[in-house]
Amino acid sequence: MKLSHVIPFFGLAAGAATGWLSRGEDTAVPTAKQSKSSAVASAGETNHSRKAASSAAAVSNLKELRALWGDDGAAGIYEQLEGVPAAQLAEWLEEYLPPDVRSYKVERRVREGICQALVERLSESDPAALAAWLRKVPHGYLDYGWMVGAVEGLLNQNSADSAGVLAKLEATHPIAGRIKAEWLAKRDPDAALQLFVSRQDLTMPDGLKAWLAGDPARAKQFAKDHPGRAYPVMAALGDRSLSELQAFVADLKDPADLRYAQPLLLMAAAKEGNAAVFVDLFSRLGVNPIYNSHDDAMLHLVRHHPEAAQTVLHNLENRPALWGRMLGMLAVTQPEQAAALLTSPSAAEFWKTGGNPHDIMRSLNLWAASEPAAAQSWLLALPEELRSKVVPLAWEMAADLPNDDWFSLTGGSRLSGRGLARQALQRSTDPEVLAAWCASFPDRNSRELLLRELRENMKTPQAAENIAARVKEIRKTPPP
Amino acid sequence: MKPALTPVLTAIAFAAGFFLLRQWPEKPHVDLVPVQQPASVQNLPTGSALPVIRSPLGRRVEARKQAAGMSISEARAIMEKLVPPLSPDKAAWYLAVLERWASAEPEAATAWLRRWSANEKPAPEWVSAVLTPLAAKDLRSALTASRFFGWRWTSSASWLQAAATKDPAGTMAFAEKYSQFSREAGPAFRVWLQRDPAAACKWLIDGSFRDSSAMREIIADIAFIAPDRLAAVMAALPEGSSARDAALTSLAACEVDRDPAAALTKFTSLSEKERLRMLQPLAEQLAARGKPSEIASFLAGLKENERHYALNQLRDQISYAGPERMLSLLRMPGLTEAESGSLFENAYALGPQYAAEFMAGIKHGGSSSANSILNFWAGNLARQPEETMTALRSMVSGGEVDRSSLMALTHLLNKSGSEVLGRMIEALPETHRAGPQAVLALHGALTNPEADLSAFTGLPDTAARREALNSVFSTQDSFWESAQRTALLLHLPAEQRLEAVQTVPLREEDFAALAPAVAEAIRSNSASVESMKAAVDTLSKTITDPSTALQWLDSLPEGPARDSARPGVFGRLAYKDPESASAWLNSQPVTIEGRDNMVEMLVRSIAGSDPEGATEWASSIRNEDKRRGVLDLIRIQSERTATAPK
Repeated sequence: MKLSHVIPFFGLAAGAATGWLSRGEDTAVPTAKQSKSSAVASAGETNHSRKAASSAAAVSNLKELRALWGDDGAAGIYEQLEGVPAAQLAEWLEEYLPPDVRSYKVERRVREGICQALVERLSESDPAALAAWLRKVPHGYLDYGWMVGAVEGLLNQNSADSAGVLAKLEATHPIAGRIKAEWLAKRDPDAALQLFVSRQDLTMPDGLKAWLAGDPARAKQFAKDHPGRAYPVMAALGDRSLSELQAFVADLKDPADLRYAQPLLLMAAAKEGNAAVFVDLFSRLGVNPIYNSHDDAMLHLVRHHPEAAQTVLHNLENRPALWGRMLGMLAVTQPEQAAALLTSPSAAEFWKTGGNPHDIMRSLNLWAASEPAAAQSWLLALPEELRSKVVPLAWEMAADLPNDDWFSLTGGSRLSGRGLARQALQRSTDPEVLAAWCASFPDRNSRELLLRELRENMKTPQAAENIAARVKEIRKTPPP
Repeated sequence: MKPALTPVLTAIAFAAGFFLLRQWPEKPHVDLVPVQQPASVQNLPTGSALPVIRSPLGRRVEARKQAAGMSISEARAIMEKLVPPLSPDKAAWYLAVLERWASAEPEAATAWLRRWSANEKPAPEWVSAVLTPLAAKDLRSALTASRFFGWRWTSSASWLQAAATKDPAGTMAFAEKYSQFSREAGPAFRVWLQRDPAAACKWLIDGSFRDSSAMREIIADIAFIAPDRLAAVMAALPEGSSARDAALTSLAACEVDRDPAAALTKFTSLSEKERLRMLQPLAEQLAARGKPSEIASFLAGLKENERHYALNQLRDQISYAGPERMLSLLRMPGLTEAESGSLFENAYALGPQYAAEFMAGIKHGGSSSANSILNFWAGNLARQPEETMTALRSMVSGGEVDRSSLMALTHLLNKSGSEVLGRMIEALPETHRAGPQAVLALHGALTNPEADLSAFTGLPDTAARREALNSVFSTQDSFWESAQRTALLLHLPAEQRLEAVQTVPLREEDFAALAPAVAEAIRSNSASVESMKAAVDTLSKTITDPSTALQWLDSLPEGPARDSARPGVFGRLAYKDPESASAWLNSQPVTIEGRDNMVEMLVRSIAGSDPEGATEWASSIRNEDKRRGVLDLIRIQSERTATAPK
């Protein structure tokens, strides 16, 4: 082999070696917006050196910052603030006080997101400036999203001054204490537990929960020493079996502890598909169940143990409201079984005493939008009497039917919300068809609502008035 | 190979090797949070220069950068190996990896998350991480998957928005067809508007998408993004429709948002209808940032209903204001006492140094004053205990804080385990400690039936005992279990038990335990007639089924307590089941107390469906005036039925 043939391979090897050795932080694959900003400083960089990098600011005013809001939301804005001097960040934050009051939620979300990004950048680059700004924030304006950044910034600053600011913040804003406990739990669980005990807070930091869950004896001792505060400890033990949790609960005496134990036992029963215990707990669930945890338990049972869920639904006559919610959940995963339950004795209680029909309606409509063909054929297969109950709750299920079927199925019922006349108008603008359909609704209130919607949605007011007149003719009612 | 080519090939090979290896993806760093020194709770060490620790957003950005550097197969492998429980420290990192995976394989990532959720409830951001890219690919699949996660409607806006990035027209058509999504379609429409304003606005003009809550957002976006098309869109909204109204309200808000001062000047020249539209955003702006003198002159120029509305806005904003602004707004000239009192209801964050001013102002407040007083003292006791206790003592001595407020405060502090409660009671003038101590005794008895209740039972009068019971039960009705309530009631002396039955909120499950005690009190005549009447009435109302309640009343000894409760229960039965009510009334002697009233209730219930039966019953009413009135009622009802549309 000639040497000239081998030399390029040496070149390749040398290039590869040089390339590997020259890899550094700045070679990470850039994200969509990284090209606009300088590289993120390494974790070991000091505050001082970060301030020195401030000349590379990519943004010069708040308006520009606002225009950068994109799919990355607050995270994208945060990235753009790399290298912006602390004084500038503080000045922009100042402009946000007091915040806009415009009520459109999207706009507000953008503002809060920018604020969060500014706070977090400032907490990294100059916590003292952050502390000074926090003192000016009016009571009630502190938002949880950026409060996390602010509190962690002060904790990381780790100075007497920041501890003072934090103590004041904790006194006025209990959420600051919770964030501090969360931060501490990852670093010093004993101290975090001490802090948690000193605060009247039911939410235990995740880190602390995990720590306690690893030591059930300690958890039990905590519950014994602090009656009324066992809930977070039980939550830490949430993945234990039903019998273990029941044994834990058996030692509890405080009414608050016993009350808070209910949702956890319920979830454990749901995880094990234990219908009998589930029914027992469900029947005794308080009027205001805690944190909607019963919803989570119901959902878990319906998804993972549908047969147990059906047993529960067959035996839950005394709680029509909860029955309705659970049936709504079952309707989207097990529609046939749910349909059968709609005619059960429990259902009779539901229809009679007013569980909220919207619980069923929301689930059925979501099903209709995601699997229209399946939902529609389910609807058409229902017995006539049941269909007349379901249709007013879930018009969307009929959305793909041919016009004639749609008008005949939706007509003649009682209206349960807005939007039906608009759908009718999308199908037909024939005044005779629309008038006959409106007139088929038995109660006056439904007819008036439909006509009002037609007036709002038809191109000419006269067309709507003609339909209203025709409806009156059909109903043979005297003019008002 | 020609020797002349060797240096060229060597250079090319060097460059290829250099770039290939330099860009070779790095292994991800799993530990994103540098280890910290443990810190004690009270005294953080000072001064030492710690490494920069990324804030939560920073960690997310960092994690995303690292995840962006890995291949999809690496991301998939990491997630598939993940075992619960998830360490909170690593949450940001795994979320980023999941996002990376789902961006390319949303179906697979969603299926994995479904499996994961069998053991651990997925965090909302995890569900969003898989469903948003899935929605961008196939909206219906995302909705199907969302059913499994039990997702709430509120997040459908972001899925529609994601779907709109692929097919804006199709997404809006979907939102139009399925009306439950239409109000969430604002962000999806914005995507279309930014890409193709002409097509988006044409669709809005030609179609029938008129959901009023989405229209607010949509019109505001058109005003900012495509102002030249606004007039055409507005012209397409029918006069008087709710969509047009929403659009005009939205435009008024945009105008105020852009230039509040100009809007304020313009306000006086507007028509009444236009004023109403601009009033809300303008009042919000002024309440949040206007000078007190400016607000006062604005309020002075408003009509009564407008002023009422603007003051409500001001009331909302007061709770967010810092102490200085709060005080300046509360001291604003031109307010009536009632208006000022209503503002004070939301000013409970004032410090204890303003206790006198707060207590004087709140006197003129409305129905939520009691809660505000409670919030004021409880909040300040937590923040500045010593100053607050001094202020409280002085206010109590001066009669500014009454017994019932002290009791409610004791209840609140004791339930939340406040450490200052004991000191607070000691700080009170001795003559004012009985109320709080009675509340503590009730708390003790509710958790331990053997506890000493004498601090409660020894209270001097019914009113005081009722206040104590109200403070313990009214605010947290559902907190106490049935067994605790009934044990407490049975622990009381007979007369006080009947008093308490009227005050403690009872449910049906309490009936069985309390009914014998009430019946015994009636038999032994051990309580006043008024107490017995009220107790029987209260207890009968706890029974849902009126015929059961009636049976219970029948079982009681004759007397005023039974007779006074009967008509109310009978009325419920007559409304629910007229046939049973008729049968029961027929079985009673005609001399039964309150019969005329009961017959009237029965007649009202059946007059529409059975006018003949109703007439027969009405004829049996003994009081002539009442009989005539009820017969007239049946006649009017019959005429109405005859002329009603068939």
